[in-house]
Amino acid sequence: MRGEDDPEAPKPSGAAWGKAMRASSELLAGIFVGSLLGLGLDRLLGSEPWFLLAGIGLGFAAGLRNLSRSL
Amino acid sequence: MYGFRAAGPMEQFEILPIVDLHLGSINISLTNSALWMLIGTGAIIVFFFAATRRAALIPGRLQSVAEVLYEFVADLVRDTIGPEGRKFFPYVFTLFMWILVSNLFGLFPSFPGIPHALHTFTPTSHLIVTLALAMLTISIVIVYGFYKNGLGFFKLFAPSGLPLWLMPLLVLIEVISFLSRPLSLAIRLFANMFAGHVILKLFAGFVVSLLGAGGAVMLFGIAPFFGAVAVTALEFLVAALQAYVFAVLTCIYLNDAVHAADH
Repeated sequence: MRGEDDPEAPKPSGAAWGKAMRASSELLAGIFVGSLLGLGLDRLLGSEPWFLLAGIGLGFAAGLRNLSRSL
Repeated sequence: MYGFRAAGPMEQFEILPIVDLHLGSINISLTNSALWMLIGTGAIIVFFFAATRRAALIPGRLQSVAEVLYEFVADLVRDTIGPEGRKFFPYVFTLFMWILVSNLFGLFPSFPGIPHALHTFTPTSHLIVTLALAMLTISIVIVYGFYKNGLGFFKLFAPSGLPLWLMPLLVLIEVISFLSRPLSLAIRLFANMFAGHVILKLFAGFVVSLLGAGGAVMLFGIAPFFGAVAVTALEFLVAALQAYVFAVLTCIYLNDAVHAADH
């Protein structure tokens, strides 16, 4: 945790930590799965990089969808 | 001046074979990770045998703990899934207990001086372990979802009250969002355990390095020492919380499978 000597620093809080972990993992997972699907399709069809680009965009949208659902 | 050498914060995650076993070209060695999984599983089995061996109407101490755990998960399953959720109780309970025990056992300090392969290890600090658990959950959701709802399971991907021209795009996003669930579930548990252990070892490493510096600098070792104590307390909280979160999300996903058609 940051700031051992800084009395103003927020106390380590399990709830806030959990929330941050949750938000980041939701967004990350969406982007990751989207890009992976795009990359897989590209490899399959030999059309790099178009599906990857679309996958990143859709993955980001899915990640945000996850995020909005989870908070 | 002192013989201290702080271990790097990443050494604790190394997978080391204890008993080398090979099946053809597949390496099935008993590793430190497998050992701690077995220890955790064994501890749960022993605990519940001991707790339920002399089951009484007025529970003893062990039995009370077992009953509290049972009711905690049973309430969770009933509240999220409803009465149909009863058949998933054994799965959720196993998952919860296993993750809880794995997380908590990983916080035991290692005995000083024993070989590296026998050091305390947290199986849940590896993405592959948590991902396997999450994949199992999502497989159950998919298989049971289709078994229960038939093709009605696809309604999960089509939010109601949507203009038709948006449908293809939204369905695509919903499918990716659904597929990303196991990954997000796995990343969350893994990242919590991983990050917590790294922070803990970093603080502990600071203490060792500052003590090793000698002289008045040794006094500064006190700050990271209290930091390490605080992080240890936080880690116990996180270990229990993450087991709970995993169980809750498993229930939420199972609920989707049970009630997909009434969306």
